[in-house]
Formats: sequence, C-alpha cells, structure tokens
Amino acid sequence: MSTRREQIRNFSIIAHIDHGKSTLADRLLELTGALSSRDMKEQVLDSMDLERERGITIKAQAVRIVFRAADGGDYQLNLIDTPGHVDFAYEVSRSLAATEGAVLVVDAAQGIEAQTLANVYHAIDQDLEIIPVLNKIDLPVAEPERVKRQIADIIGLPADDCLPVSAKTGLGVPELLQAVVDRISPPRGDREAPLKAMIFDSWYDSYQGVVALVRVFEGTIRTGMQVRMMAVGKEYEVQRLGIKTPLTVDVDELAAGEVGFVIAGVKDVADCRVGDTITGVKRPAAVPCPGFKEVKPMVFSGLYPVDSVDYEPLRDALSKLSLNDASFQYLPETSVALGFGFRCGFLGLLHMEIVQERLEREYDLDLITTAPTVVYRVTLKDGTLLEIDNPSKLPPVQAVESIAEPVVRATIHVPKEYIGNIMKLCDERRGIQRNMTYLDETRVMLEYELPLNEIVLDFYDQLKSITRGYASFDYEPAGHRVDRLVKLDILVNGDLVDALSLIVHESKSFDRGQEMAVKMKELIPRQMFEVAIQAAVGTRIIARTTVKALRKNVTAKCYGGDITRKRKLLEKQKAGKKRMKRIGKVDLPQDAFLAMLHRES
Amino acid sequence: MRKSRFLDNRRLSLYLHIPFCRSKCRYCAFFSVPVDTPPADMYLRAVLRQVMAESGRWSGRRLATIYIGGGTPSVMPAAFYEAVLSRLAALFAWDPVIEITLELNPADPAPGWLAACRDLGVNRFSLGAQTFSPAGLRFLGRRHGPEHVRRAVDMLRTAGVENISLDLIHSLPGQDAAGLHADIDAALALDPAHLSAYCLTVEPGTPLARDVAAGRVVPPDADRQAGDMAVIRDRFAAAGLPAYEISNFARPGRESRHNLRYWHLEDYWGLGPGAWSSRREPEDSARGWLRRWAWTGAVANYAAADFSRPVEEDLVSPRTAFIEMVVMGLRLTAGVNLRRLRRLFGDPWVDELPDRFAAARSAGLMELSPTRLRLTERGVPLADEVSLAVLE
Repeated sequence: MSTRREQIRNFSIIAHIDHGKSTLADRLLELTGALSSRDMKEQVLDSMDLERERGITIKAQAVRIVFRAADGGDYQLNLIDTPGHVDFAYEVSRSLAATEGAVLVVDAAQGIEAQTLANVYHAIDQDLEIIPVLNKIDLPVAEPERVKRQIADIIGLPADDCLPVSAKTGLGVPELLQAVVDRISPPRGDREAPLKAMIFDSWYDSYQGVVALVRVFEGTIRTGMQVRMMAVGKEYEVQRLGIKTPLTVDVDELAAGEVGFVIAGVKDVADCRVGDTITGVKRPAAVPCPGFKEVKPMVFSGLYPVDSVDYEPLRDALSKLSLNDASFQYLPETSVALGFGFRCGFLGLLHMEIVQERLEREYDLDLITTAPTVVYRVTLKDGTLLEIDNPSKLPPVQAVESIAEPVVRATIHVPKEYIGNIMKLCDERRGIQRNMTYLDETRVMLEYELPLNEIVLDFYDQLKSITRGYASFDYEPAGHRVDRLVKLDILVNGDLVDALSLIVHESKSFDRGQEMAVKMKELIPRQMFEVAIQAAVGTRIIARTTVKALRKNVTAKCYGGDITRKRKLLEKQKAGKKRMKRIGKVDLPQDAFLAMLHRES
Repeated sequence: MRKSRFLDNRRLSLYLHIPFCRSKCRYCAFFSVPVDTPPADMYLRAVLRQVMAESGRWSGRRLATIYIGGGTPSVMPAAFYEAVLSRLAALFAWDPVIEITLELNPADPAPGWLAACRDLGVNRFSLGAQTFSPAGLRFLGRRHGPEHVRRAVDMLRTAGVENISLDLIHSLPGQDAAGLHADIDAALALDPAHLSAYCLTVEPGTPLARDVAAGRVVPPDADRQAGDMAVIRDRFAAAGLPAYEISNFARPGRESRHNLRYWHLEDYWGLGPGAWSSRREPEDSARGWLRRWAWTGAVANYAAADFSRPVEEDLVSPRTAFIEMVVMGLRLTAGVNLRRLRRLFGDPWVDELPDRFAAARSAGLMELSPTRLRLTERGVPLADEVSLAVLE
C-alpha cells in the first residue's frame, strides 16, 4: 500500500480550545470514509477520558486518511493531532516538525487567541504552509470579515486565503481537503537513504511496551530491522509497524514522507524520547533530525497520601504514570508535617493537575498536594550553586548570596477595556511590560515578563475573573532573574510546618505571612492548650495569631445505658483525630493543609 | 461461685425503666410514650416476664441498689412497684443497706403515694427540678412550676425521707449569671442531700435541636458553659456538696451508690424497653470480658417480647473494658483507681498511661499519683478531650 511521495500530505490542526479542532477532525475522517458517522464515537482523536472532559488533547495522534482529489488521484493525508496546551509546547513543536503544513482553525465569532498564536508562530518558524480556516460560520454571531482581517493583520496571511467552514455541519470541509492537497507541499526525502525517523510522541502500552509515533524523513523502516535511538543510544529490533485509519493497520514498512507507529520492545518511555531520531544500526544516518531537547519539569510540588497506608499504592501509581510520561518526575521525600510522600516535577500547572486527577481518579488515591513551586537557582556565599525545588530545602538566609527565579515571557490577548485590570494584575505579580500591540480596533496583545512563581498559583484564574473570561494567555520560559526572595515559614507553637513553607518576594512576605497566619487560625481546631501560629522570615516573626485553648468538651450525662454509646462517640472523635497530622503536640486537620494550599482570591 | 478477678460478683444493681410521660420535654431525646399506652397492668406483666426470663443469670446475687427511672416513674401507681419489688424480693436476697431510688416529676407525688413507696423500701427520691425560673421551665417544656419542687420536698420530709436529690439543667438560653446564681440559691435553700447539674445538651432529633438548627434558639457557647460549670462546682462545694462526678454533687456519704456502680463498671441488670444490662463474663467466655445487652426499645414490642434474643448486644473486650474504666474514672473526682486497674488488667496497660496522658498533664489538666489518675479543676470540663488519649 505504498504511496508515491508526491501523493502524501502531512498536516496538523492548530486551534484554541473550543474552536472546534476535534469536531473538524471527526468530519475529515467521516468525509473520507475512514469512519461512518454511525460507528463514530464523538471526537475520536481524544481518547483519554480526561482529554474529553477538558476538551484538550494531551497525547498526539496520527491518522491516515485517503482523499480522492480534483485531479482524480488518491492522496494519502496524515493528520497529526497535537497537544493543545502551553505545558506541552515542546511536544507541539515536535508534532509540527513532523508535518509540512497546518490548518489553522479560528472560531469565526471569537477570533484568534493567545494560545493559538503561539502555535502559529511555532509553525511559521518551521516554514510550514498555513491554511487558515474560519470555523463555526453557521453561527449567527460569526464575524468572518473581522476575524479574516485579524488573521491578515496579526499573522500576515492574505484574507482571501481563509476558508469558511462549519465543522458541525460539514460545510466547506471538502474544499478544505482539496486545499490541503493543493497548498501543502509533498514531503521530501529519499526512501533509499539511511533511515531518519523522528519520534513525535510515545507512550507505554502494557501489552506491547512503548509505542512510538514517528515521521520518516529519510530512508525506510522495516519490521525485523535493527534500529538505534540516536540521543539515548540504545538499540532495538523493530517488531511491529502500523498506521491508524483510525483503526490499527499493520504495515511492513514506513518510507520517507510517511507517518506511523513503531513498536520495538522498548520497555521505558524514557528510552523513546519525543524528538529523538530512530536510525538503522547497519547504515546509520550521519546526523539526527534537528530540534531534540531534554524536557525539564518547570513546576514542582509534594504529593502525599492523606492516609499513610496509601504510600505504597501511590508509589506504584507514580511509577505507572511515569512509564507513560517521560516529562513527569518523582522522587521520594519526607515532610515532618505530612509524613512520607514524593516530590514531583511537572511541565506546568495543567500537567500537574492532570497527573493529580489521574492519581485520584484512576488509582483512587486521596492526596495532599503542597503549593506548587518553581526551581530556584541559589548561589551560596561560598560560591556553591544549588537548584531548589522544595522551599523547605532552602539553606539558612545567612548562607545565601542570591536567589534567582525563573521568569517567563507571557502573552495576553484581551479586549481593550480590560487593559487597566491586566496591567494592575501584572504589576501586583511583579511583571515587567515588554510590549503592547493592538491586534485590531478592539483587541490588544500585551507582553509581560513575569516570574513563573507568580503565575503558578492562581494567575490564570485571576486573569479570567478580572476580564470576565475574555483574556487568553500563553507563556514561554525566559531565563532566570535574581530578586529579593525570602523563605516564609509557618510555625505552630514554635514548630515549623515544613509543608507550608514558601519562597516569596520580600515585598510580599508581610502580607502573605499575615494572610496565612490568619487563615491558619481559622483552620486549626481549639486544642487542650493555647496554640500560637507564627509566620516567620528567617528568625524574624512577621505575623502572629493565637488559637485559644479549648475550654469544654465533656458529656453531661453518662449512666448505665450510655457507656457503650459514649465509648462509640469517643472512638469516632478519636478516628477524626487520627486522620490529623501532628506538629509537635498540635493536631492539624487535613483540611487545614488543603485549604492553606488552595489560596483563594 | 465462679472464679473472677472482678470486684463484686456477689451483689447486683438493678435499673427499672418506666417509659411513660404525661408530656414531652423539649430537650429530651429519650424514647417515651403517653401514660397507659399500653396500660400499666400489661406493662407490669411484661416486666415480670423479663424478671422471670433473666433471673437465672443472676442467681445467688444480693440486690445492692435499685434505680427506678424514666420516662416518669411518678406516673405509675404504687401497686406497680409493689408487684415488681415483691417479685424481686422473692427471687433475690436484699442487701441490708440497699439503696432504692425513684425519680419524681415535682408535679406528681401525693402524700399517700409517697408513703406507700417509702413503705415498699424506696429510700432515695430524685426530683426533676431542672430550674427555678418559670421562664426556664417553660423553655424546657416542663409541666411543673418552681413551687411544685418546694411542695414535693416538704412532702418528702413530712414522710420522713431525707435522702433527696435535685436535678438541675444549667446554661439555658437567656440564663445570665444572676439567673444561674438564683437557681443555685433556690436549690441549696431546699437543703438536698444530693444534686445533679447537667449542662443543657442539644440532642439530635429533639424539638430543641430543630429550634437551634433554625436559629430560633441560641444556646450559650462552650466557653460560657465551662464558666457556668465552674461556678456551680464552687458554690455547691462551698455549701458542703462537693462534686464527686462531672455533673453530680453530694453531702459526704450521700453519693448515688447506684450510679457509682455504673461508673466502676460493676454488673447491672436493666428491666424495661431499651434498658441495658451489663455483666462480667467468666474468663474463658466467648462473650467478651463484659457483655452488655438490651431488649427492644419499642414499648409495644417489649410488652409482647419473649426475651429470647436481645436487640442490642455489645461484647466488650478486656482492652475496651480497660479503656472504659479509664474514661469513666476520669469523670469521677476520685479519679481512676490505678491499683484496681492493675489487679483487673495487669501492669503493662497501666504503666503506659502516664505517657498517653503526657499532653494533658503538661497542659495542667491532669494529676497523677502512684495510685490515682485524676482531672484537675481545669481538666474537668475537658474530660472527653483528655480521655481520647487512652483510646487506640
């Protein structure tokens, strides 16, 4: 079933959440007969429950469809569905690199969003052909002319190139497929050259081991062939090759220009990294495909089982998740307050939430998560450099020369009436404005340099709330910046609650400390003795609250018939106490940690 | 007699429950039915059937105390008590100093009825005074006034009864410091031998609980209640009635022997619907160290019961009995008798108590001597909180 290279088109779809990417993909499959509408599950490409619920794609997919074009030829179209979130920017860039073109889907009512734009720029950087599509033109609120102008102004694509489409009704979809054939160039490459196949996604399957999605750039990969992962350096034998239509179809070979999956007995996703190049052992390529990099977690937090008996199940679950997710890291750690748990590294907040949700849902674990933190670069007075991913590990202030925090370049798109609110928010978050551009007469693009620490907690929620949901937001790492950062500790009757320590900017330490001490006071139940809550920076106490001693907890009446009942009541109270975490002599309810870590506005 | 390391397997306490009331009090969570439903003679037959069904379990015991509670025992004719007590007297030896208590609603007793009860052997009367404030009594839904309490006390004294106890409820909504002292004054003016003073407790399912939930009634907060408890303890002690339990006060020698036996986990036999019995089982018994059981709490079912299978049963392990003894002992002014615990359960469990209670001790809530573990004055209102440390 080999197709001539000239009749292959590899493309992806770039779209903002809710702009209709998945619906459009379904329509493409349906129209090319890959699936009948009867046996089609809603949104075939998003296969994880979480993906469906959140309307986002976490793992890439590749589907081959056959389209009979206007010239009467049957074209092999490989649709590569890319992850849809800033946390997965590297995976997106690899998916895009596997294609020659992209369909840019823009909601004709809402216009371009920051997230979309970031991916469009990735695509432009890689010299991809971009086919802009105005979706949802059947909606009465659609403003195709305005959005066309926006696309022309911002991206510089001719307004006439925009295709009007309704993914819902199928209107304009055949024209879109024809445009893919006409405008996107066929892949280049020589099927006889030494093998160069780029991995653009991989995952672990419990029956087959690691499955890699690849785009073959040069040469041909065949079953039985000895191959090498060029960055990792390990060698395997190709056991199985295939494509998705979206049904799985086995093939004997994938040649230059083609897209498909490779199974080669790899046991660990860490050995099959996104961006790595597969080459032949006998006739290796001289250089790998460009663009490989090791992805590093940006956000860290501690994950602890609510009940200590869940420690082993949690470790098993983390190990299973990491099999499937090379960018997710975990290492055991202990906390005085929370006991045994794990320090986990994530690509970003969404990635963190997804992992937490999967742990709670798929593995049925109750977890306490410490406040997310970024990785600080700490220079000690003796010249030692440290990377700190857990605030409680920060050396004493006397030993520290300087602390640098990661910063990001954030892009915010917003209707102009909200500019003031955004500026105020970014200012509060220690942002530095870098640019401001009018996208059209109503929308503005603001660019800020912001400390990552200031956006990991609740920035996005705040942004949404102060712009009534109209702002969209994207960011990319922009190095480190030294600033006056301090460690803020919470002490309960003089004992440090390590799980609550934070690294904050000095200017915010007082307010934050005050806020935490007050909140903590409301969360700690009264005990047999007075409990002092202190917020401290180093040895300096910056806020103090007191939980008064409990004065009464006694049953008034207890006679013959009440003894069993009273014992059962006490057993219940005791069970409640046991679920608490003990700091020194003070019992802290789990809720206190959860509430402290979920900071509301 | 079987071998037992328990303290008293020669004597027995008996509780007789009278589940009838003329009216429902707003705060009361006890199950009760209107008087004469079923008629007193039918209820009597059921009680006697239970006596006959279970008396074999207690053969050889001497009755040490009897407590007739409710409900409202004072709504039953004296003949009812005559029938029950004479049946018991036929089956069991009477301790020479037996204590027989009967609870009274202050509105109920007539001189002839009181004299009849006294002649049957009832030698201790407990009056449900609750408060001397007319507004307070209305709030509680009591069907008597303060004057009824004084009249009933006079009547008892005329009948030659000196062992009189008054029940009080404190920390009522709207009761200020002056109101509390007025109640204390009025109670002490009657010169009772014994007082029980209970903090108003909002029991789930009561009309009071509904009113509190709806915000119609706001009871004093826990700090106020603790303050009221301290005032009451001070005033009663100053009047010669020191506390001997969380809510109980007595002239020396006039403590309720019946209730003390509960608190020491001695055996007791409960008669009537929902009344619990508790019995130390032999060492090798599969029924636990202690066995507690109760017959159906529904009066109509009780009247028809054949007493073959209790509806509730609690098999108490040695460890649980140990815990209960500590918990109950901490409610007593005398505290937990560690020597008794050592004799009953051995040394290891007792030896770990000081550590278990380290937090309470360092907070000044508990005192420990080689033979006693007891709460301090500050510890008394925190008895439950402190007790938690002995649970697993």
